[in-house]
Amino acid sequence: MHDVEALMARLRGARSLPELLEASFDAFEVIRILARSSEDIVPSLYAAFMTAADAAVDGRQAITIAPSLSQVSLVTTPPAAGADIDTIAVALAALGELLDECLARAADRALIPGDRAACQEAAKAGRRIHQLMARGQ
Amino acid sequence: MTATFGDFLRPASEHIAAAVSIRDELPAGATFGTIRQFGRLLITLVHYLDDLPGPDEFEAAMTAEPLHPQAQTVLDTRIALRRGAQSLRYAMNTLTDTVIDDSHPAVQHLSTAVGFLAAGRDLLETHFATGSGGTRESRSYWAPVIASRPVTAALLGEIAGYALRLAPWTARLSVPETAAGDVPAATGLAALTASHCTWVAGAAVQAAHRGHPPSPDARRLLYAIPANFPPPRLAPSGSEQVSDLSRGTIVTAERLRHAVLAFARRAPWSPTATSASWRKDVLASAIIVHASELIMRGLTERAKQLTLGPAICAQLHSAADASSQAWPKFRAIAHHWDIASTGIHQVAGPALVTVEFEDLVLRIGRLAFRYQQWTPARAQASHIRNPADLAPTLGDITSVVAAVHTAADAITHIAAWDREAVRAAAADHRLYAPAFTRTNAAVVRRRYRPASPSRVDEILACYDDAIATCTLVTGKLDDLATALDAPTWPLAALRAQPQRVPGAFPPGGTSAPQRSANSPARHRGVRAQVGA
Repeated sequence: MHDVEALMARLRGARSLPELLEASFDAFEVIRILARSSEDIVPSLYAAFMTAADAAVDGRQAITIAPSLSQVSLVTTPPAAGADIDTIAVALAALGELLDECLARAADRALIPGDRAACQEAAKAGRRIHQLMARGQ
Repeated sequence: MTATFGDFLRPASEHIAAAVSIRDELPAGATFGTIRQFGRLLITLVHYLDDLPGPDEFEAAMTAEPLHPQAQTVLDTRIALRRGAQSLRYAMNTLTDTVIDDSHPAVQHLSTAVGFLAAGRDLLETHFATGSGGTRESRSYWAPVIASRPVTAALLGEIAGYALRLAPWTARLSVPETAAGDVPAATGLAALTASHCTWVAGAAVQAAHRGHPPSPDARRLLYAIPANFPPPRLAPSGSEQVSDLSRGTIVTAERLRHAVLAFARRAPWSPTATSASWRKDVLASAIIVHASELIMRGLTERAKQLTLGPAICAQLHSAADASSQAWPKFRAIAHHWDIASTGIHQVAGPALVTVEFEDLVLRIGRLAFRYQQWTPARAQASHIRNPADLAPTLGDITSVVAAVHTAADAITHIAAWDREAVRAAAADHRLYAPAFTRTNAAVVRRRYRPASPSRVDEILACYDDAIATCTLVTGKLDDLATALDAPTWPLAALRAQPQRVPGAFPPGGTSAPQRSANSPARHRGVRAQVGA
């Protein structure tokens, strides 16, 4: 789960809104790819991973319309495979939670209404991913 | 529960039977009341016949070709009943100062029968609307069934049954020995004419049906026609037992079927016709069909435990296998919507279909899994439900099959409509995809561009596959529902009828790119099969 840790570090270390948006875009994309690759491993988690992947698309789409998102090409590195399903779920839950925190904070600070709306929507998607992937009590 | 046509036909028939069972001499006032209700009843039956497909009297007279035997029967019956009604209208017009007794049981029974028959006709009319050119347009999945020859024959049989019961009884009203002496001769004669016309109408149908009687299945279908209104929403509560979940699934799936028709009629202008809504639809479909496979496997196991016949066990197993083929197809579409898009749209609140789909996901998931408050979230994931818990008895197997059956049917319809909406969007150049380039280990995503023809074809082909496999599932469930006499058995009959429900995507309307074997033209056959 080195990729996820690196992404979390990027999210935490983002010093501007464009940086955060780029990191968030990549984070949602990694969540999507990891969730998709985990969909049909355990039948009881099929719905959870399918829905998490869908929420990641929602988040990524929301980021796409943010005016402050850089116009340059966005780079997404495919995450390394091999982790077990629980590790993936825990990582996705953590990433979703961090996306929620960072983007909600960014939404509060955003000056451009389009950025604010995009961050709020994307934060909602991050929250949803966290809810879907978090372990039960 | 939604009212069915049978809910009106049965009591109407009972009240007519009760009226004609009265053999006592009617007082004059009651005779006039009976004649008036008899007239109302004949007019109501004429309205039924007016609604049936076929030429009117003038068109029939102008046509050189002989009419189809059933159209001829409808015409003959309608003419006879209309003459009878006209005769009674004349009779009533001559009784301007007469006291009419509406309280006699015979009058009451006939009046109530007329009320039920009129309400039944109103129920049938909910399936149709008048088009811009004054034409009668289908507005439901049932409309083609109502207009079909077998069901028309069954309806004619019902009308003939009433006519043949009423004719001899009403003839007595005009006979001096049974009617009081103060009934004018002209009135008696008019009643006699009407009675004769009623007998002619009944005999016309009887003669036509002598060689080709309506099938019991058609009659059963006629009685099962529901009012074309969605049932009220039943929100999932989190404490539903299997029987509640099955019933709730049927209600939710039925509401989805209605929502699809409403959505399809306004799709080109609807803000909900976006890739986001199609993505949510395939997500829900993929989860529901996946859970349906688990449910059908559980039912197969339970059927073996209950030592049901090998045929039923084989059908359950076959439906489970078909489901296992279907959900990966929906997942494949979902993967396409990860990338392709119609753009970003701000939509106020979730679409009706999305809300109903969420209810359906919860209910089918809770049927499949043990945890009563199951949701797609990992925290609520649980073991698959024990077969004995899923269906303690044969009756429970039937209920659960009915639930899965309706859900599969709704999903098939939605996939077919979404597929057409995607085709329309592609033809309208509203479908986009990001451009990718690969550099070493990284994939570089660039801004969105109009989706390439090959990508559009791939998406449509995925929809075709999903619809075809889902049609296979519903076909298997049709057979099961029929074999188990599940409450959803009419769905099989509906599927057997060619569907021509007008929607937003008339054939030949939006010109889709006809560029491959996955083109819409190829898909029309599938649409006909799935009844979209």
